[in-house]
Amino acid sequence: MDKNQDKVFVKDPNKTYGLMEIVEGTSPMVEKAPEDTVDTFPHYIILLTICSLAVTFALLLISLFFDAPLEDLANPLITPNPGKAPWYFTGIQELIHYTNKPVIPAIIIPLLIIVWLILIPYIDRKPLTPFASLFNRIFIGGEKRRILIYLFTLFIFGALIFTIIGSLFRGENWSFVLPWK
Amino acid sequence: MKKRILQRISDSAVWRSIFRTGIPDTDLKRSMLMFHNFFLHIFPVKMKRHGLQFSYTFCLGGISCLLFIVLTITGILLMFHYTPSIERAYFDMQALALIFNGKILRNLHRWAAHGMVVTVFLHMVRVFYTRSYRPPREFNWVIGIGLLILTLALSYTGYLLPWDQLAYWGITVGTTIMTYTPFIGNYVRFFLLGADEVGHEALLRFYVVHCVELPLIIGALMAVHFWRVRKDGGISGLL
Ligand code: HEM
Repeated sequence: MDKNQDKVFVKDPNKTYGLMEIVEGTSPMVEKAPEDTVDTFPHYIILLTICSLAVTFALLLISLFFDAPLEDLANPLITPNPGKAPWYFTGIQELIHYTNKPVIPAIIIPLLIIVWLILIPYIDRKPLTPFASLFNRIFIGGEKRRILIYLFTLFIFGALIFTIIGSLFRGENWSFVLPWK
Repeated sequence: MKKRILQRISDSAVWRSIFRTGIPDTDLKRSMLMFHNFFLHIFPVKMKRHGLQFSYTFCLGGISCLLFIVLTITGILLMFHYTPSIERAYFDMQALALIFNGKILRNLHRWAAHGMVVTVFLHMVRVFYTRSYRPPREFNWVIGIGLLILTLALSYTGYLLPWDQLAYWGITVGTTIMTYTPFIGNYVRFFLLGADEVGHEALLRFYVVHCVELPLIIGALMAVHFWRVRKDGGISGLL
């Protein structure tokens, strides 16, 4: 029995008998506390089927009405202005535009973000030593992890905003343009 | 009447040779149905009720997986019509529009690829805000970051394959960003492109990486990811 169940079946060393109870269910349970579970079939399988069909159908609809772009044949002699990376990298391109040290937005910032993301579960854990608890207060913001949530939200919105500006609001020579003009 | 027919079918020797359980009308048969099926045994027989709650996971991991399956199927079909050479790639793409359903095949592959980048990212966002990376799930989060990077790499290597202006300059710009790496920048670019410029070598390289290497790695990593979701006790509890 796992830890959780010990809480339900509290063991009293002075007693030789255990406690039993009648619980509503569809099958007998032995040495197990009542748990809030459902059968995978049919409950989950139905959800899985509906969700998969809905996504597939939506994708089919989109593919019926919107064609994937195919521009002119690749030509190294004709440089488009502006030349853009795929949309998920235009945020980085946008950042490069702000600085004359491209190594910072192009390499250092993405690497730092990846390392930070990987470390998140290892820094947001219960502090066991006084030092860990100080560390936790500075980088996580205590039990409610206010600082971590703030930083992560900043990252999400930063990525979103720079990507949108980079891919939609930049025209010739990376000048600011309005996409609807 | 209807029930009797169903009963007859599910009791027949042929049915029983394929699916070992009959009509799943008891808890035992329901669990056997999950347990004795190759495709379903990846799921547990019983699940925590709140794990099914849509507003907790938004099915984003599952949708990412579904999109990956769609991408694999359409990708393999596209391979029948594509030659990774700069003389033919672009014209193969044009010819695809003339094939019955060829256009929709390409559209499906394209939009599913963009969609997967979005859903994988949103899945990460969901896992962060529900704080589902806490022990024992730390390492599954790390595997997830690997999956996110691989998803971007898959999308990026596929971007070159149509060999149109968009592809050519998208990859040129992207790999120029990589040359900003201190000391080894130009080597990194050369390693990726197989030459100093985007050309035939780059197309072949991206093709092999896109169609073979990355799908194999991401597939294996996904298997580990799902395995760990179960070994770590299913979907994390409510905060
Ligand atoms: C190809 C990409 C990915 C696929 C196909 C995938 C698939 C899944 C699936 C199907 C689940 C079950 C719950 C759900 O659907 O939300 C899950 C859970 C999880 N995923 Fe992913 N995932 C991917 C990428 C990621 C990323 C980028 C991260 C985080 C950085 C991540 C971290 C996790 C964690 C920690 C769980 C456990 C969540 C919980 O117990 O609540 N995964 N994943």
